Amino acid sequence: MKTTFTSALALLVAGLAAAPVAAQDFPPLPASIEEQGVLRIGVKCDSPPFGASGIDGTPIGIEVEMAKKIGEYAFGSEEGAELSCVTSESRIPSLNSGKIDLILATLGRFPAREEVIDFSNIYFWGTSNVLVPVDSPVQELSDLAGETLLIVKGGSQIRWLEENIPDIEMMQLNTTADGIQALLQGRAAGYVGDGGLIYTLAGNYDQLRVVEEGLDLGVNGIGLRKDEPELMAFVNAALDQLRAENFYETVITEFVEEPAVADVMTRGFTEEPPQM
Amino acid sequence: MIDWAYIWAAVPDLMRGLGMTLIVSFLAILFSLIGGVIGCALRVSPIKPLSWLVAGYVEFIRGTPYLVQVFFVFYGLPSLGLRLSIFWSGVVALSLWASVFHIESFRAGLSSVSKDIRNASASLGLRRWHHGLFVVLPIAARSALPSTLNTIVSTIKNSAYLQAIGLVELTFVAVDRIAYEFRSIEMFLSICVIYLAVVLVVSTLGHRLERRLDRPYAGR
Repeated sequence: MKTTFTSALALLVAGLAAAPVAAQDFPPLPASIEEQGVLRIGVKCDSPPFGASGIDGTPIGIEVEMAKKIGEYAFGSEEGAELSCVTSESRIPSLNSGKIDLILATLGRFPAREEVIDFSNIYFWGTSNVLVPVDSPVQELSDLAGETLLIVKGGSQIRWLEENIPDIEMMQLNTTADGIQALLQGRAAGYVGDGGLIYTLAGNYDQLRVVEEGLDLGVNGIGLRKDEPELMAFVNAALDQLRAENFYETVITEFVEEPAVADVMTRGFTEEPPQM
Repeated sequence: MIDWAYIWAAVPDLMRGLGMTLIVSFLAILFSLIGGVIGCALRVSPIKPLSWLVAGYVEFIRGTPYLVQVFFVFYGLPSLGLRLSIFWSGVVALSLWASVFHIESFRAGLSSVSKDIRNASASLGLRRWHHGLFVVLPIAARSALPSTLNTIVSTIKNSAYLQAIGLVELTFVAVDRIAYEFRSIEMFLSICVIYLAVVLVVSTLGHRLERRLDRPYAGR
């Protein structure tokens, strides 16, 4: 009898530990957000698998699911997150002008950005890669010397490329779709972007392949306006909770079909970055 | 609070962008004026199919958003076998857009010359080309000048759209710096002032020309 009781207690404790943390277990939201009743979160709509535009026009993707979950932690349901699409160039102005409260949009964390916004703890790390036409002679990054590369405006890889690949020219367009279009039209030697995005695109376009050699190890965090410590504490607790719930392991498989890519993505979302 | 030192440090970049804005605008203004003259001549010509063709072109350009035209030239034409560089895509898109408004301005200018004047020229024994060059053109040019100037100013301002296809002009420089350094107010304020200055210079020159043309022949 005693054994049964102990087992039942152990099961109960284990069950409670695995159960989602209730809203009251999170640090309190700032009064302004509470009053607003939603968290306005900027997500990408052109960067699968992080954030893309679904068939019905609503955003879908790993970061989009993260945003919904954070909305759920904040207000009890995923409607607690009001999502809007942001582009690489518009995301920080959108945040600082008060149009959104958080940026959850493949936002790389680096010093110039840290001067104007605050970052949550890192939730993803990874390298970037270059996408080239299948018949391209480019095998490694050094083959890109003197070539033109496409990138979205505001892409964080530009400085790395200009510092590490001689005479490289950057052609900056507004969206990933514009970049791929220009690449398919032969306007440049390749398109550079976050690794997950590049591998996903290579899976979608038979005419394109990935240059395996990665570049510019980057870390992503959620962007917040400067000096919002309450919201920061909430967001960091939410990120901890996502990992604790094994959220990423489930959600990545929904948006990434290629097992090798899914492994890389899972490592990026669940493990600490290598050498910073 | 505006960071003036940041604006000052950005001036060399902004000037490089302004240089591109001026080059692309100048070429587009030149080509669109030529296109406007040719288009207007075809539009008012007695050969109806040519006139209809130009009328259709005018309606097409006027009835579609300018940004769509820019994308059409940059992304669409390669599918038809014509791949222009970013720079020439910009010049072509801007010229096509502006030429339509010049065609209409010139046509309005021509229609302001009444038939009585034609009869007056005939009664004075002027030849047809004398009538065109010395009578119709001066009157039509004066009537068309204000709207032509308006289109020239709009051409300069619309060059900002070309940042969407990656042309490193003035707006591109500002947006690019904002993407990295996030000084939106400093950059947008700077480019507003620069565009305004350029437009004011062009408008002043245009108004001077207008005043000069307003003087009677005897006064020159």
